[in-house]
Amino acid sequence: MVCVEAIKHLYEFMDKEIDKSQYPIIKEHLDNCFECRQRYEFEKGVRSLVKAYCINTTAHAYLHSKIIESLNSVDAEISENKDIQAVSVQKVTRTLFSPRFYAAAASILLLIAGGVFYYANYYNYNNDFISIVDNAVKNHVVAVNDNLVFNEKTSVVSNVNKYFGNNINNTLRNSSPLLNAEQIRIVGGVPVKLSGTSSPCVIFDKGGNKLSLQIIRNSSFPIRNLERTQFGPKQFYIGNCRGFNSVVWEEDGSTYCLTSDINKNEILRFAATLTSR
Amino acid sequence: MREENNRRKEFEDIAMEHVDSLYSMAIRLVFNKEEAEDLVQETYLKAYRFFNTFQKGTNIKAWLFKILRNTFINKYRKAVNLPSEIFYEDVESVNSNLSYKQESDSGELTDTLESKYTELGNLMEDDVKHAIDSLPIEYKEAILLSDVEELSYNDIAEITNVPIGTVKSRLNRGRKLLQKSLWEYAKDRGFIKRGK
Repeated sequence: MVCVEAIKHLYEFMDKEIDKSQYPIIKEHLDNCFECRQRYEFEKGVRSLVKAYCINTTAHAYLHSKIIESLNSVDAEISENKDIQAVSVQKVTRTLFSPRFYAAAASILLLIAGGVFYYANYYNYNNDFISIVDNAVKNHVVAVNDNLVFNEKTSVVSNVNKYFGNNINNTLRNSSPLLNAEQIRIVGGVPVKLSGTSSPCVIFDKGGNKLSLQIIRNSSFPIRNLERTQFGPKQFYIGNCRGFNSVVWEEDGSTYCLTSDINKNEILRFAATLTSR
Repeated sequence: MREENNRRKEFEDIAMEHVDSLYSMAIRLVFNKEEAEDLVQETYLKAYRFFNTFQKGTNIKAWLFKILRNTFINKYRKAVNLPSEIFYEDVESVNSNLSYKQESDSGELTDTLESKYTELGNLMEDDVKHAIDSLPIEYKEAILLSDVEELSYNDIAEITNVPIGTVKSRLNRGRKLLQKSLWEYAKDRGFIKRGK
């Protein structure tokens, strides 16, 4: 092998990228040729200078922890965007026979029964799909103002215009029964009637789907079998109540129960928007 | 959430050990501590977000470097003026066979190689820094990925998005430029007495 050949392949040799069959040939040349060996040593020297300098340039220790921290935000983001996976099933039995449970169950049953009754009636004249919650709202509510629609028994709250258009009598004075504004409290940015029934209820309209939110005080759960799941920073419990998906969570000492016939992931996402307010 | 935890743990296990390597490259690209840190952090965020696209068993370091490079280019696209590929390739193919001969003929390189090598140790850290930093970016990245990170030509080609032949010629030319530059610094400092 001549020097020109050896030098031509010197970098590949040093970078361990040379063909295996060529390696011993070049090595032998370098061992025996003084000039080429000098050149090889020089190249090696430059490399070790560069490498030593760059390797000494290390990141501050806090960069490491800063990165770890920022991964947490990605985790939170991912869990928001991907389908929620329930991990463990937690059976909540402590409130099974409590008066609260019966009160809540009765309230839900009342809502459902009323809805089913009107839905059945409505269905006779109209083939369009209208959910039972829609019908419950339509037939059990009275207007308090532009945004609130209460029913004496079920405490349903929603947007007046969504259901009644311009025909609704939406002045407080003319509504029946008369409601005491002091009974209304803002929970998570939503007006809720907290007294009058044992289980106040809010109806939300979400892209045509109806969701009902109940506030259950003293942290009792109205549903027996609950799956615990993490969504963003908060823990939720998912359950099913007579075919309706329910999401239960605690906040400020109150327990909230969101119920709807939409799927679990959607209802959970919606629940999360209520808590983050 | 167990799956999420596994993913997180796996990512931390294989990716976090390369923070220093990425930082070392980042600071040679942006020349600024804060910006280099931001660049590395952004790289890790992206990597973690797209961790599912990482092919298990392949070189994670190369993968991270590729993300770092893309992040850098996207962020500093206006500032980075990548020179024409063809121009350098042409120059390279014409000169590659001549360079060694010319150097030999000049009598300079071979005569002083030994002293050059000995005296390189006298270079100040700042000289090395300046020599590396003054390299055109495509040479610099090839040299750092090869000489410092010891990545294969294949990995470097993948990271820098060019054929292996281009990697080779960049290394070839880049190393020569770097040596020349280091040599200049050494001369300027008077460590080497020429003609001795």
